[in-house]
This record gives sequence, structure tokens and C-alpha cells, in this order.
Amino acid sequence: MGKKIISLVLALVMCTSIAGMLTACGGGSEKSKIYFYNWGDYIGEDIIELFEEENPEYEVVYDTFATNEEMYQKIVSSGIEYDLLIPSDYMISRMIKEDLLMEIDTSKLENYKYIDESLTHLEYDPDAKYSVPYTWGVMGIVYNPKLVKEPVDSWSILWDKKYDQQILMLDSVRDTMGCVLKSLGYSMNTGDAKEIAEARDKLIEGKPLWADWGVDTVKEPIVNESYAMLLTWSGDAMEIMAENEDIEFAVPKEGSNIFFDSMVIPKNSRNPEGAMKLIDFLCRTDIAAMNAEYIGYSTPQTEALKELGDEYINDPTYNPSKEVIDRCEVFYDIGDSMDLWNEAWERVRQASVD
Amino acid sequence: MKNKLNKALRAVPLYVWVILFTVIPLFMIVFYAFFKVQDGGGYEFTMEFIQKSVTNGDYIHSFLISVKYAAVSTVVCLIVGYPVAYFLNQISERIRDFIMVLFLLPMWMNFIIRTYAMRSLMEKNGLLGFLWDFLGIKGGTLIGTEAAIIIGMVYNFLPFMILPIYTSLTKMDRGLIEAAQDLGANKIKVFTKVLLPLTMPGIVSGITMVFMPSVTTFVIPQMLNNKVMTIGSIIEYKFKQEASSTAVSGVGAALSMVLMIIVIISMTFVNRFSDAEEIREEKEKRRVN
Repeated sequence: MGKKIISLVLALVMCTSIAGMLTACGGGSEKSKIYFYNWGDYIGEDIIELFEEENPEYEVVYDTFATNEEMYQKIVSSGIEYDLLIPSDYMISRMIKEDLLMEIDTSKLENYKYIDESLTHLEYDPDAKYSVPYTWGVMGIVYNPKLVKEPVDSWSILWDKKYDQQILMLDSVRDTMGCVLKSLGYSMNTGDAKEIAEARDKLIEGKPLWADWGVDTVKEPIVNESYAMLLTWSGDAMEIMAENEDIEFAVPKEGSNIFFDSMVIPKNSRNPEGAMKLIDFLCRTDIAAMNAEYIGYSTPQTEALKELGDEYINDPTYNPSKEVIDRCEVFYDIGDSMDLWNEAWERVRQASVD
Repeated sequence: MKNKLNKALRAVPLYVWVILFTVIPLFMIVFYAFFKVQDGGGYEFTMEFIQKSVTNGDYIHSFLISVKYAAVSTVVCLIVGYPVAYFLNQISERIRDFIMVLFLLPMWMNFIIRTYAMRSLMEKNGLLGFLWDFLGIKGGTLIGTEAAIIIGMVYNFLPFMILPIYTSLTKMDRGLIEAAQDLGANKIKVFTKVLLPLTMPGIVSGITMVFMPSVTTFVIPQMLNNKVMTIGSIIEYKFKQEASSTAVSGVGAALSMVLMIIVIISMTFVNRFSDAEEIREEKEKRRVN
């Protein structure tokens, strides 16, 4: 299902870019170009076309990346000047530190008032000066109630010997280690060597119980009920739950990670006015609702959420309660401390199971 | 003169290709393995990365298990592949072509997709689980076991064992087997004295073509059993990590360089073995004449 959509989108992107090239060659009038760099499969199918129809003076040149790091490398090392990017929280904080981003005057955005205030001014952009949230979500445990009879409310269930070889682990240094640090009562942004070592040992302790590690390979086995539990993001949980209604998602009481992908304008943008116009467009209620429905991650646009309906509003995975958000922590750039994390993670991944 | 020029021109695509995709990348790997960025900009020579890659116990452990998986897979491929190649050489051309197509058909598909399919087959609630239920056996999943990695490798690399052996069999004169039989050799003798020596070049290239990619693969173990880190996984991980880190380190490059040297040494060793085999054959032929 997901794959079909991806291939469809790829085909569409190809067609639109070819069509774009043709019109660019054919049309005589100069259009102001907006270079938009986004995650793959991360925008509703007609959104860009709608924007261009409403704003014929602009033409959007769309390009995609697969990881924050890939995007970062391209921004700092290639000569391409993008006008609008959608990186994740920790990458935004790094780019702010390195002075790569332009300030956004939110008073000029007509639709900014709809963005949920409790989802701005977070540690990665404390003054909400550089970024406008695009999507968000939380980390937690997806589980199959047929195989897990007790309530899932603590990270400790991942270390429960009852579920030997029934648990799948997420293979992602920042996310996985972050949740373990949280389970130990520490910050997800710690640079303390002792705390990191403790998290490492906890992971090594649990390793023999866990059946496999992965990111993309571990979703399908949860859908077909081969395993009981998986540590994952709410967006992926939504995807899994769409294919198997019995599966549930829980955010442990010790706290978890809340993550954002937000819109930013790089400092070397040549068309910040166009980028602002596009940001405002993406924040408009009807567009945000259409986009949110397609992407599947939670929307920070309050009116758009209402438009999506009760089914979304009352879904604790799609729209986690204030109480859940309050116990979650956002990632920000921790600079060189990341070396300690990487070292610990390598030890964990290489520790032998037997 | 004109001929020479023509010849040189025809070689241009080859040189361009080799320089772009072999020489330059090799040079970059060596460069990143030995040089690190100085604080003020510029590069300085360092042995730090090489030292890190050959002294880290985890890396050595990973290397050894990778060699183990590759060796087991190669042996399995040989045991399965040799009879298949022999059988292919025996049957009529039409059936052979048909079987060949069946063999190569899955290879037209991307191997990541094939491995994904393998994963869902091996899953507890996949075809394997269905088979267990059918047989009334209480069997578990293969995912996350060493067997899964071996099966994945054999499945992906078996054709690379069969094809070279099959080619060397087709080149062999069948009269030699009949002659040996006429002279009183039993089946085992025919195999060890005629068949095996004459197909040795095929076996050697089959072994190289299965062993080398098995040692370095990271996709197969990551998809079927991501609990273990093979040396290929470590190199991939190091490159990824280094790409996202501000402090550029060359451990990934150093590791791949060390691995490449080991591979080259074992290749020359294997090749010498097959060369010696060929020389012996030549001598024997001359003696017969």
C-alpha cells in the first residue's frame, strides 16, 4: 500500500518536473522560482500545483532528500540555493548555531495564528524565530494486545523476559538511545558520559531478548502479528495501525521524544518572499488539512485538525493529549557529545547476543 | 598509423570508465584513510584511523564472523551448485535453456526486493510458519538466526557458483570421461582424476564470485538478522555516521582499505592456486602428446 503510493508519487513528480521543464521552455514570461527541498513523499499530491495556480507569478522547483544529514551536506557543500527546507528539530538547532538560517517574521504570515502555540518555542528554536512547524509526532511502543495482555505504560516492558524474542528494536542511534535514557530518568540531550554508559549497558542487557533490529524491515512483521512489540514513531504506528486495526500505540509514563519537521528558509535564499508565500499557503486551513491527510503525521495547524474530524482528534496516536506532550522532550543539537552517543551505540550494536 | 589511432580511440571509454569509477574512488578511500582535517583547515597525515580499525576488538570479531558466514555460504553453494551444473551439462539443450531461464529469472529483479521477499517468507507468520503448522511442527521463525543469513547469501549468490562451473564443464571434452572409464576407472576415480581437475578453474572462479561479495555484503544480514554486525555493516555504519558528524573521521575509509587489502591478498592466493592447476594441466597435455 505504502509502496504503491510512493511509486505513484515518484511517477507524478517525474511527470510534473518534465511538464515543468516543457512549460518553462515554452512560456515566454519569466516566473519567480522557489526552490523547495523536502523529505521524499512528504507533501500532498496536488498541493504544489494548487499553489502555482493561485500564484501564477511563482514556479516551484521541487527536490527531495532522505535524511537530514543528506540535506545538510547539500546545503553546505553544493552551490544550489534553496528557498524552503523542511528539516527535523535537532538539525534546525544545528543550522541555527551555524548561522545557516534566515529569521522568519511570523507577523507577515496570515495563517500563523492557527499554529498550536504549545508546539512552538521549543528548545531547538526557543524563540520560534527561524522555523514554522510542518508536522510532528511522538515516540512510543506499538504493541499487539492479542500478545500483550497487560497494559503497556512503561519502557520497562521492553526488558520483560516474558516477551523473549517477541520484541523488535528500532535501529536508530538518537531515537533508540534517547528513549532508553528517558527510561533511566535522564535527558534525551545528555552529554554526560556516565549517563550514556548506563544507557549503553541497559541496551546490552536487553539485547538477547530482542528478536531483531531495523527501521523499515520491522513494520510488516508487526502488521502480520509475528511479533508483539516495536519501538517506533507515532507516524509509523499510524501506518501499521491502518493495516491492522488490532495494533495499539502507547507513550510510556517515564516520558518520550516529541519530534518536529519544520519549515525554514536558508540564509542564502534568493527568493525569501516566495518562500514566505509558500509557507503561508501550507499553513492555510484547507491546504494543511489536505496535506496532513496525505502525509499521515500529526499537523500543528489547529483548524486543520478540526477539519480532519473527530476520528483524528480523538485518536491518541494522531493527536496525543497535552499530558503526553508535557512529558515528552524534544531533540536538539548536542554538538560533539554526539561522539559519545555514537561510541556507545557501536558497542551496543556489536555486542554479541550469545 | 591510422590503425593505431583507431585502437587508441576505441580504448577511450574504457579508460574514462576505469578512471572515474575505480581509480578516483580508490584514491579517495586511501586519502581519507590516511589524512585528517587540521583544525585550521588543510590536511595532515595520520595513522590514527588505520590503527583504530585494526586494533578494535569489535571490528576483528565482526570480520571473523563475516568470514565464517561467507565460508559456510560458499561451501553450501559449492555442494549445491556443482551437481546442478553437472546436471545442466547432461541434459538436452532445450530443457537446459528452459532451466537456465528459470534460474536467472529471479536475478532480473532487484536483489533488495528479493531479500525483502525472503524475509517475509521466513517470518513466523509467513510461509515458513504456514509450513510448520501444516507439518504439525512447533517451529519458530528463522529471522534473527545465523541460518537466515546463510540462506539469504546462498539464495542470492548461488547462480555465481553454478555458471562458471557449468562453463568449464561445457568446455571439457566428454571423451575424456569415456576414456577414463574404458581404462578401468571407477566413478569416484573419474570424478577425482578427470572431472575435478578439469573443472577446477570454474570452481575457483565460482568460489571467488561467491565468497567475495558474501564477506562484504551488509544488506542481506541487515534485513534477515540485524542483531549481528558484519564487517560490511560496520563500514556502512561508519560512513553514515561520519557523514553526519562535524568532526570528519576516516575510520570507514580505513576499514574498507584494510578489507580491500585482505581481499586482494586472498584473491592472488586463490588465483595462484588455479594458475598452478592450469600449468599442471598444460604439462600433462604435453606429456600425452
